[in-house]
Amino acid sequence: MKFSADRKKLSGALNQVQGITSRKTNLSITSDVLIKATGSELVITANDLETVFCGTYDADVESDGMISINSKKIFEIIKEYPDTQLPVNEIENRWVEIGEGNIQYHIVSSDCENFPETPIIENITFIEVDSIQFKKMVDVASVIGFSPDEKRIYVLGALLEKVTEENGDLLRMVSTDSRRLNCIDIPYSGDFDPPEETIIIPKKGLSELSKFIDSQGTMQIGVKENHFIAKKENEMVMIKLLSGDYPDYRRVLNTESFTPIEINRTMFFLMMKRMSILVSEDYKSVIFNFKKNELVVTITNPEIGESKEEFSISYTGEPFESAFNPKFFMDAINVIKNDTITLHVKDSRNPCVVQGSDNTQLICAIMAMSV
Amino acid sequence: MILHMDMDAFFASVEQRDNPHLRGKPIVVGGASGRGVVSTASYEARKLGIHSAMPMFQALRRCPDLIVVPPDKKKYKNISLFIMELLKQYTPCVEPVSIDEAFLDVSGCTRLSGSPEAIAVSIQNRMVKQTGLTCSLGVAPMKFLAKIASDMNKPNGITVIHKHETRSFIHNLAIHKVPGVGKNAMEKMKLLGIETLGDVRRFKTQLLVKKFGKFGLRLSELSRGIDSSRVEVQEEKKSISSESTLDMDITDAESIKKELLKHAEIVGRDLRRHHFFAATVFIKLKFSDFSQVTRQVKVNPPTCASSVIYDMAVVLAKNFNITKPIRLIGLGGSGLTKEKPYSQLDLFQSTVPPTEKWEKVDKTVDAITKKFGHGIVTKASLNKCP
Repeated sequence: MKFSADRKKLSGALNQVQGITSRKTNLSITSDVLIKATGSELVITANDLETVFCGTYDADVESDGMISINSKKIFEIIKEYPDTQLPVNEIENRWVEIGEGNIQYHIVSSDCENFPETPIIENITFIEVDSIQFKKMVDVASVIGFSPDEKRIYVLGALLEKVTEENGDLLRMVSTDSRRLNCIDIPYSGDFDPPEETIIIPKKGLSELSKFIDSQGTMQIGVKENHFIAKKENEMVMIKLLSGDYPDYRRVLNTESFTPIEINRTMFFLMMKRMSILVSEDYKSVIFNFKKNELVVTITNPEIGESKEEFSISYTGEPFESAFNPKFFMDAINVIKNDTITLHVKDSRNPCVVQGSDNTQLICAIMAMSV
Repeated sequence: MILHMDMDAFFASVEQRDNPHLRGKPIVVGGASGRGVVSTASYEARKLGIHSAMPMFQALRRCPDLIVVPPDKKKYKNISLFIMELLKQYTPCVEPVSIDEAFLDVSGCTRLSGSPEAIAVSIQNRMVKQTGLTCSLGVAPMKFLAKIASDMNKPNGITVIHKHETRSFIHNLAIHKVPGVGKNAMEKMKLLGIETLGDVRRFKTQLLVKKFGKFGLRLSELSRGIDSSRVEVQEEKKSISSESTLDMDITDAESIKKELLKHAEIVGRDLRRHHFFAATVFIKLKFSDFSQVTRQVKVNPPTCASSVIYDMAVVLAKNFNITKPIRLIGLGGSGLTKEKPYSQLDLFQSTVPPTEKWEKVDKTVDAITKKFGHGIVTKASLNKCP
């Protein structure tokens, strides 16, 4: 195999796969990228057995072939290579020569026979989404992570589904760690005919997906044969879905019996930020005291001290006390950009549901802590 | 008799011990930046008028050759722990006052460890031998006198105030040496014409209380040779556990579980009695060949519920491949916290965490047991009657 390709293009492609190839798996070859040269094209593939990236790029191919080479090293070489064109040549015994003239690397590649196979999925019906909106969706879902020893499928992955609203169908993504939950809807065009099974996309894959989404234009997404597929002009990402049940999140978001309280976003955020100063590993709870037209928040950390703040609100319901982790509010407010937010509250045993005022497309629920 | 042990220029001595280049030279331990203060000065430095709490720039101005060593708190802490353990070999009644200071009550230990003076000598010798550091000791019938005495013959000295000497000692003791008498008190002392602790006796207690507040009462008592403070041993509980050697060696899972249940009940009860929550549960198994293993697991949130502790213990025991007969089973909780941190509720589960419910049940059983006697309510599987 021998080819020469635009250094910048290659660099951009390899930059996107670094997350996939740096993940530890049972196979060491997953830290490689597969580069296949045919005709006038290069196909670059990365596969961590869960998430697959595949991109096609123009190149001057002198002879066809395929190599499997360490992703991190070739990326570093490409980044530092001074010319605009990068020549790559497989010599013999899996030795790969990169560069020519004054600068030459000889890198050992792996046997491409061992590279995990890319799943072949055909006849995918794609729907079209706005890239910025879809990126926001993925980022909102990624805010809620999971701990390394997590076993629950619905915490390891985010739910994707179609919801039918008055003004048309929407695409919905729900993410939770059982302490809080983010739910975001975005519009789409095309026919979305999701499979029967619950679609749960692993959060690991979502963070790769986020890097993949452009900051303009549209992109195509689809679900087929146990995979979520996102596609741009010449690149695509396939994420193997998790199989499991998703809990009834709608119950959590049902605020019919709750009292809405409107609050200035910035002021509330800064208050939570000040409160979180006194948070430590063992003491994470801020006590919210909802009184008539007043919210008194306090935090007590026996290791550090305490803090108290008073806040005027329009609340006329029964006074009650509830405890929350202030960091969760900060995370929620960070994704809700409206100037005014609405807190839906009920009692100390129910979540606080946060929403941007007159924004129904993004909802964050934060579960209380026991008082 | 009470002993007061005070390490000589502790931090500085440690540094000189560990670095031969520093020996015999004026050194100070403290923050090297211009804004730091002297934490400890070596005796060589003290001779040049450098003392603790002196701003570093002042010390350096006074002695430009001064060697400033940054403090290694961790090292000092470890040595301190070692020293405290050494002291505990003479009497269990050791009260650490600070990192390099402790009171020992050796009353009742004389048969075992010798006279108080002999103990002091022995401590000093062993200190040098085992740590390479020197200390000074004060021996007196009272705590405050012992503290004053340890300071009288520094470094590496021992001062003994015998019972029959206390009266005259107090009489002549300069008032500024009395612990608690600072700058403010000294001004008042001057006004009252008090120069020695004995002078205090001339004044009525009421007047002293008026002048010095609560401290006046103590002054009055001290001047009469009364010191009600005792050497206080503060044993902070680190863990609560229960173990027993079995009547006969066991191997089967059911018997192990039953034993664990028994101990979980005891540990849970002890935790609740002391208002503790355990963040870690551990088990200990000793086998017929006397080899032993311990295993532990984190509990989140910390708990005092017997059943939660039991469940954790069973998991621990299950994960361990038991191949030999067991002769002893123990179970305990560590990482004790007094206050239960608020626990995060789950969005999808019943609103009261099950562990909390069990804690309630356990507390109720505790209350019943307290009223009607031990064993009135017990786990059915622990019931002796068939």
